[in-house]
Amino acid sequence: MRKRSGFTLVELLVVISILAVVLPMAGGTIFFLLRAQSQSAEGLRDAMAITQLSNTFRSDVHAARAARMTADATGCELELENSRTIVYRAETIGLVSRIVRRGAVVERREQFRIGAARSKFTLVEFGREVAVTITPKTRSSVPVDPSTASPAGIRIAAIVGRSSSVGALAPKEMPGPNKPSKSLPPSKELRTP
Amino acid sequence: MTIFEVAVSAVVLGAVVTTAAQLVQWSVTLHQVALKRRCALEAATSVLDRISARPWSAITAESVKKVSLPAEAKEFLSDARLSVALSDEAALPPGKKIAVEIRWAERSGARTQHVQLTTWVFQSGTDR
Repeated sequence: MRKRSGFTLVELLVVISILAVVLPMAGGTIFFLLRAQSQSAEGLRDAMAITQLSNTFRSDVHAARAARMTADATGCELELENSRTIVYRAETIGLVSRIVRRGAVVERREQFRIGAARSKFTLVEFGREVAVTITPKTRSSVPVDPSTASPAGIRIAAIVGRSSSVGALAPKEMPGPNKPSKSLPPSKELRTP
Repeated sequence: MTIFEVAVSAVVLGAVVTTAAQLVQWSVTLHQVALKRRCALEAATSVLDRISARPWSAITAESVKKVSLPAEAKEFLSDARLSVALSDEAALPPGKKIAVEIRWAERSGARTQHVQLTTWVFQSGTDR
């Protein structure tokens, strides 16, 4: 009797059993890697947005004559020369907006998408320094409480009016956060380059 | 496909999965390190900004030692330490070199990370 080539039922069962383990592992690995790649790309994009926000924010604060919190305390308003104002506002989680106005006319509007991070604006030393604290979502070791005065995170702070007169701004010369612009020092002392 | 071939492929796949998991773990760790470095850089920039905005006569070795890290950075960076060094620059006009360094530990026992920023301020005509 001629012997027939092929697989036995036991061999097939064993192979199917092994494949039942191996294939989900392979699929899971591919899914895991794709998700990691996506998160990495998001992290890079958020880092670039934070860099851009940092540069723009510092530059604006340095050029400002005065700073105050907005009425709803979600942002800050910077007062510049020539009736220009710049308002930074934490719109939602991961979104900071910047609106440049000349008088009542909106000249420019920008948005910075900083991922799933919370942002909070604060005035320090009666408006002499303005800071925005960005609390990334990825941190799990320290609990994030949005009601706390100083949430842990990346803090971008700048001195108001530094571009105008470096080293000449004593605290008493700067207006308070809610004082009207009439209390500002004369503009000749706060030159904007 | 023999059992031997399937077993070999399973071993190879296991090695690939293990390597991939390690790579992802490494990527997450690097992301955390980059975030903390970013935080330290912004804190150092803020400290430099605050010091260099002072009047020329107020920038002294004693006064810069009183500068402290922002609370947010202290909470974000474990065991963070700030050191500010001030040295006079013999130049015309006279200048001061301010070096800010922040050190922190990624985790206990790990190598200490640090960032350092340096700026120079010079005496202007109004400061004399």
